[in-house]
Formats: sequence, structure tokens, C-alpha cells
Amino acid sequence: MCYDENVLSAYSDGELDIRLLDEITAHLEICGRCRSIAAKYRKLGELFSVEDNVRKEAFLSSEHTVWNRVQTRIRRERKGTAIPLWRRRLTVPVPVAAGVLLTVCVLCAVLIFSPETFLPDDTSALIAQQIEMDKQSVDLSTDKTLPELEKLVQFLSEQGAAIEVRIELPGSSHFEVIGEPQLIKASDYRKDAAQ
Amino acid sequence: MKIFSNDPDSFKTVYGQSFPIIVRVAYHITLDIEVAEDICQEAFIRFYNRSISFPSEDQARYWLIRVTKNLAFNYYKRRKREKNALEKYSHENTQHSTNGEEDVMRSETEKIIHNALDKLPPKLRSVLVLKEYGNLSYREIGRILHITENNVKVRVHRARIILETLLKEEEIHVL
Amino acid sequence: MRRISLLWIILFSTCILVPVVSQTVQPVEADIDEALSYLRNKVLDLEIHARIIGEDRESVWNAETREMTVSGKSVSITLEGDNLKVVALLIPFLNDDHSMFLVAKGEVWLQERPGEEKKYYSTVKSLPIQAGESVIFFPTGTLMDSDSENIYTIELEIQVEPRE
Repeated sequence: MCYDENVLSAYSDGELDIRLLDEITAHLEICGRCRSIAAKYRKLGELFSVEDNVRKEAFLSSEHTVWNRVQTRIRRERKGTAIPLWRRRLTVPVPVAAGVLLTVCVLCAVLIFSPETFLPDDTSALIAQQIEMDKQSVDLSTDKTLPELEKLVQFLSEQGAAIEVRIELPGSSHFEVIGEPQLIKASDYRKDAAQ
Repeated sequence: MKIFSNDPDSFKTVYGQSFPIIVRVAYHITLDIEVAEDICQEAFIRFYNRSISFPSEDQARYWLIRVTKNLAFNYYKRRKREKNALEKYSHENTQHSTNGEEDVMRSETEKIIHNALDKLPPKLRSVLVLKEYGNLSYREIGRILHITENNVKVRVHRARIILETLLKEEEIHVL
Repeated sequence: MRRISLLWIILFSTCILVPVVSQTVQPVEADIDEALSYLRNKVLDLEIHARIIGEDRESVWNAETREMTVSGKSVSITLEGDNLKVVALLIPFLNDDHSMFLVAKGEVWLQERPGEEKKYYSTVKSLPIQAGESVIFFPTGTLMDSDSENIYTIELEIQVEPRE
């Protein structure tokens, strides 16, 4: 039984499990076709390593060059890093601090105890109530394509909830993550696909 | 062993382990050693400035390879667009221009392999460069590119088939 | 020194309190009108086509939905299959100068083989868009020529239109 080229390519990389590797090794002893395919992939690999050896010295030299450049840049960036504003020490005179504290206390008192500033917890209900009481101030009649404002307000008041759509994929399909997710314009994607 | 990207000792360890792979990845995508050095420098600076921790040296390396690959392909696409624009306006075929020293250094085989690699679609080229120059396993390549091992195997095989055809056109017979 | 400090405290407190108190007695109606008018201009329609593309680049399945939202509020599309779950969060933004952009967050839970543990991937992508322009989000990557059987790509084609 001969093996698929795909499998022989993986065999030449040593990327099969040990049992299959042994099986194929034994098979190659007797099968000329598979032996020549495996040899082809091995020779391709050798071409790459020969080509890589030519550049070995250059890459070693690059390693030192880039290291020096990276260190220089890191040192430069460290020097130039200013202390962020929020971490700077701030000296405040005691009377000013006392004044700020007094202001905050007065503000809180005003908010808690003043009747004019009382707001109900359910702000959306208040807005809906205002709409009912004073419809003339909100132009609802002219634009028929707008959703009902009460529904819009209710939708907005749902804290953090997004509109959810659930779709079931066909059961027979097996999915894989085949690459990096992408968000692209349809016109660009179709042009690339056509090329 | 956890790796902190802005810790000098961790950074040095990761640099020593990763640089040989990422410089090869960058070079064999951009085909320019100076650009490859710039890309490697950028990748390591980003690694340092991220100030994050990786659960292992392997994960740090995979991150660097991924960033390098993306930077290299961005450069490659930009250069291709510029080349196409130049050809469109000058009505001439523009050869990839290198300085004289570069040309002398590059062997014939290297030129032919690079021309062939240049013609591979980016996704096949990524896996082949990572396999042949990065010496990474299918599993490692899958983790770097967020694809399955099986997918890596298929892409490597397809890349080799196309490469063999392209090399035959240049009269380099693998068999 | 003490007199000056006291003077500063009084002046500072007055400067803070007067605008706060005056603001709290303003009628609520003006705010509502303004809020509703603002909201009216921020309503967006999303048209979403979900497709599965087979290895021969043909659509083997599709579904579509239209949703209404407002600028900055997300629409979540959950796609569930036998070995995979994708949650795509789409958030359109409509700026005051009528330019728009779309943020797409993709989360994928994948079980490659039965019995294996699930892998998790996530990404966030953004893109400036025009009204009515189609953009495609590939939460699991774009279609690749592949020898393997049964490899499918999931596409979400999205169009965003302001509701005038």
C-alpha cells in the first residue's frame, strides 16, 4: 500500500507518530515510488539548509548589531520617561485642603436633602412620564420610520446588554480556526479573491 | 518558568533564543538583511515595552515570531504596492534592487529560491519559512499562526508542490 | 496668613456651589428634548449576513438578520456548531461629523477533536466604514486553499446605515 504525498512530506519532516514512521520506513525499503517522493522532499529541505548556511555569518553579525541598537533605544526611552502626572507628588496647604473638604460636604448635603434635585432611580420611567405629559414638545408624528421612543429608551436603559442574535450552524460541518481573524471591506476581499 | 518582557535577565535569555529564528523569518520574507534587522529591532522593542509576563520561554518566542512575521509581511506588501505603482507609471519592469555587496553575497541558489518563495502566496510562505528556516515543528507553527497542526501539514505540502514546480522552471531539479 | 486662607476658602466654596445649585433647578424637559433629539440622530441599522463558505468558495449555508442599535451599543451574534462556538460583538460608531467606524470583537471556542479540551481565541478589529458599505468579518480566518475535506470559513457580511 503506497502512501499519499501529503503523508510522505510530513514523514520527511519527522512529524508523524512513531508507529507510522516505522511503517513508512519499512515500506520505503520496497517501494521505489514512495522512496523517490520522500527523497524529493528531503532534498528540498537540504536546498534550504545549504542556502541558510551561506547566511549564517551574516545572521550572527546581525544578532550583535541589533542587540546594541535595542539596548541603546531602551536606555534612551528610560531616560526620556517622565513621571506621569498622577504619580507626581503634590503639596497642598492645609487651609486649602480644609476648604475643599468643606465644599464637598456642603455639596453632598445639598444633593441629599434638597427636594428640587431629587431624581427617581428609574430615570427611564421619568423620561417616559415626561413624554406622556408633554407630547407637544417632542415631535413624534412627523417621522413614521422612527421606532417608538418608549421602546428606544427602554432599550437604552438595559445596562450593558447588547442585542443578542443566536444562530445554529449546520450539524454536519467540522470547523477549524484556519488563520487570523480579519475585518476587511467586501470590495477589497472580492478583488483579492478574484486575482 | 515565567518570563517578564521588561526584566533584563529574561529579555536577554529570550533574545538569545529567539533572534536566530526571527531574523531568518524576517529575512526570508523581506529578502533584505537591513530591513530584517530593523524588523527584529522593532519586534524586540515592542516585546520590551509591552511589559507583560509569559507563562514560558516558548510562549514568549511564539509571540516574537508572530509579531516579526506580521511586520515582515506588512513591509513586503507595502513594497509590492510601491513596485506595482512604479511599474504602472514608468511602464518598466522593476527588478528588486540591492546594493552591489548584497548581490555578490547572494549565491545563485539563494536568488532562485528567493524568487520562488516570492511567488508563493503569503500563507504558504509563512509556514514554509517557519518550517525550513525556523526549524519549528508543525505543532509550534500551529500555535504561532493559530491554526491546527493538520492545517500546517497541508500548507507545508502545498508550498512544497508549488516550489518544486517553480524550481523546475529555473531548471533546478530536486529529483 | 489665616485671614487670607479663610478668604480663599470662602471664595473657592462660592465658586463651586453657585453653579451647582443653579444647575439643579433647571427643568428636566429641556434635557429630555435634547437627549431624544441626540438619540434620534444616533440610531443605526445593521444588516448582517452570516455565511459558511465551503472549500470550493461556494456558500453552503447562510442566514441573515437586521438589527437596530445606537452608536456605541453592540450587537452580538452567536454562532454555535458541533465543535465550535463563535461570539462576534459588532459595535458601530457614528461620529458627529457623520463618519463611521466598526469595531468587531471575535471570541472562538473550538474543540478540534471529540474529548479534547476546548481552545479559546479572541481578537478585536476595527475599520472605518461608509454608510451602506459592506464589510466582512472572518472570526475564524479567511478561506484558504486546502486539501483537507470539510474545512469551512465563517463569514459575517455587515452593512451599517444611519436611520435618517
